[in-house]
Amino acid sequence: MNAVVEVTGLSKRFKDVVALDDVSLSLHENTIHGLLGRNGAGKTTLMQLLTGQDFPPHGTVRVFGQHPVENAAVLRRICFIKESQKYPENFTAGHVLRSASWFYEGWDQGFADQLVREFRLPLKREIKKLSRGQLSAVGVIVGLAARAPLTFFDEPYLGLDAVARQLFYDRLLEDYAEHPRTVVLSTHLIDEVANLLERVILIDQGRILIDDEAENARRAATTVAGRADAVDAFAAGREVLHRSGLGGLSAVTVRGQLSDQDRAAADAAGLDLSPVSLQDLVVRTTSGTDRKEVA
Amino acid sequence: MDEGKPIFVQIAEQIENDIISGALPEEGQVPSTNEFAAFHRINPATAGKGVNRLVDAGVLYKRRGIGMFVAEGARARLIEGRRERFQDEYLGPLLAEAAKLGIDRQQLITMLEKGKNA
Amino acid sequence: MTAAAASLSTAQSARRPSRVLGVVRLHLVDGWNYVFVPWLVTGAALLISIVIAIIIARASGGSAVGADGFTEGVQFSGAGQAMFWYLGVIAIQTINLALPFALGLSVTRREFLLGTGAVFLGISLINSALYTVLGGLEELTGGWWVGTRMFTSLMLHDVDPLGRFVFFTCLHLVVFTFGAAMASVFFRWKAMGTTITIIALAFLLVGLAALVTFTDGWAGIGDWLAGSGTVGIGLWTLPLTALCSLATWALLSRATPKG
Repeated sequence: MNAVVEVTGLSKRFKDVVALDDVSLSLHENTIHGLLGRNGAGKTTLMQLLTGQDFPPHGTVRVFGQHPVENAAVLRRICFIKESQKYPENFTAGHVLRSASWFYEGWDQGFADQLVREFRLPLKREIKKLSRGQLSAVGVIVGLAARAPLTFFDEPYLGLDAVARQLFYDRLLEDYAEHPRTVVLSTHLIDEVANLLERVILIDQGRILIDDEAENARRAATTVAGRADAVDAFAAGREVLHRSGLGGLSAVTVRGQLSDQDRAAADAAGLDLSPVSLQDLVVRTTSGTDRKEVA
Repeated sequence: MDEGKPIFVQIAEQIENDIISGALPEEGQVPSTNEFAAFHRINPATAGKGVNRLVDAGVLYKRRGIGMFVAEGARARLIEGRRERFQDEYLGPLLAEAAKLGIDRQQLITMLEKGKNA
Repeated sequence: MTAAAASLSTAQSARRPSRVLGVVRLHLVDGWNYVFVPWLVTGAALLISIVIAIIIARASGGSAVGADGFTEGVQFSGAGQAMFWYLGVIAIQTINLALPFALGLSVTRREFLLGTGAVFLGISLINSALYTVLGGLEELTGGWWVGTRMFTSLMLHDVDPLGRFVFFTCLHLVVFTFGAAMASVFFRWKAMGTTITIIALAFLLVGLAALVTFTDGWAGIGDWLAGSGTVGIGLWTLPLTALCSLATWALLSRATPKG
């Protein structure tokens, strides 16, 4: 496994807010990573530090083995697509795509043209006159057609409708299969992308909670449901991520994979075991307990 | 795609089903990993894992430069494997559920007869 | 060396299109900003000057026209200024918008500043050359046949073409770099920082003026200005240009695109 990005002990604070707290991780070459977490968890800050747009005060960041800041050799192989991208006054969508073609060596104009047709992007319209969806499409098209060896998508689909989003996922997968590269998708829409991801990185309040293969992350928890007393007995001694109850019944999400004996024990106690989707896992790991008691 | 089994296992099982049903004949070519990935909308690496699982089990084999093919005798082997698991995966739960509901052996046999003709 | 770093150096040794050149193209891809509008502004200003001169000449029954054929009263035409204000605004917008855009395309700050500096310099030289030529035409046609001055007004009346060229170039450069510097202050320190900087600059200017007043230096300054001549004054703006360029570079080298 080649690590194209290696981060150790990275910390960053803005005034009195800790954005990143001793973060260490690595991004694997030619892998699609999901960077998940709530708003303000530190995803964008992390990506800004990895792409040389921000300066790491503590810790080290190595991209392609070097510091990314002001490093043209490294930066020319990175594409960072973010929602809040600013564009020069009076630029049209066409101008943006043309400009991008000058800076990304792997730029595929044919692919870009195809995407423009599929996303129905009006090339002659000025950026400031584009709808939210069209603006997102611009970012997405640049990110895909650039074929940069390391590509970050920071929630670039916020403006896209469901059809356009699916189009993005499909094209991303297709192109990634033909031209493998390292991709990082930062998103809230976890269920939509869950099947695309090979690795999952979950960040919460500046700390890494999960950094694992998607498959393992998916099986990292199980929901146990049934009569409240039986559930509590089963859950005793295990790490509980989430608990909810209704009357005499309760459902508890416990961390860790259950062994065959555990499953047998659950069965015997009349408990139902069900898997936890990646989205639920992320939600339950990053929020607190939720009790709904009905007398 | 259900949440229970890992995706690559589901892919493998789907291919197995297609082989058993004859949709994928022996010595016939199987879609490429990228095609599977695009069709199911999953990561190519995951699709690859599923395919490799079957290669390791001797169900599929690779012809260099051409693609993946169904191994000779794969169908028969798969069916035999499934038969062995039939008892645990289907009969076991059926009998347990019947016991829960108080359905005795005679009633079960009657139901089976009826079911066969349905 | 890791495989990733190794592949990086082989990539470096291959020939690559210049990214600084890419930045230059970025500024010019939409010709309006640096080329069309400034000249539209200049053209409009010239037209207006001509019309005003005609009006004055008519109104005065021809008496306003001096012995050299130029109408009095339009010697002070500030019409030539118009373009410079616009270019200042362009410089500000470049830092505000083109810079974050370039950073978004993975361009380094250094590449951006080099490319932008090249564009500033190029535009300055080309514009100044054209202004000089137009000034020559102005003299030849006796003020565009109506006695108005725009490219050879007051300060430039007696200056030879080369001097005019140097003066215009210096003026372009100081306008560009000052606009860029102010915009960089805003980029780095936002509204609060910009306000503080402007106040600090105002204090500085007032302080200097007070100093000159207390040392009775105004006469001396007047003499010096007259002595330097127009071209000399132009050249004296170069230190300011250099200072602004340095400030821009210093401010941006630690600036992060926010939002």
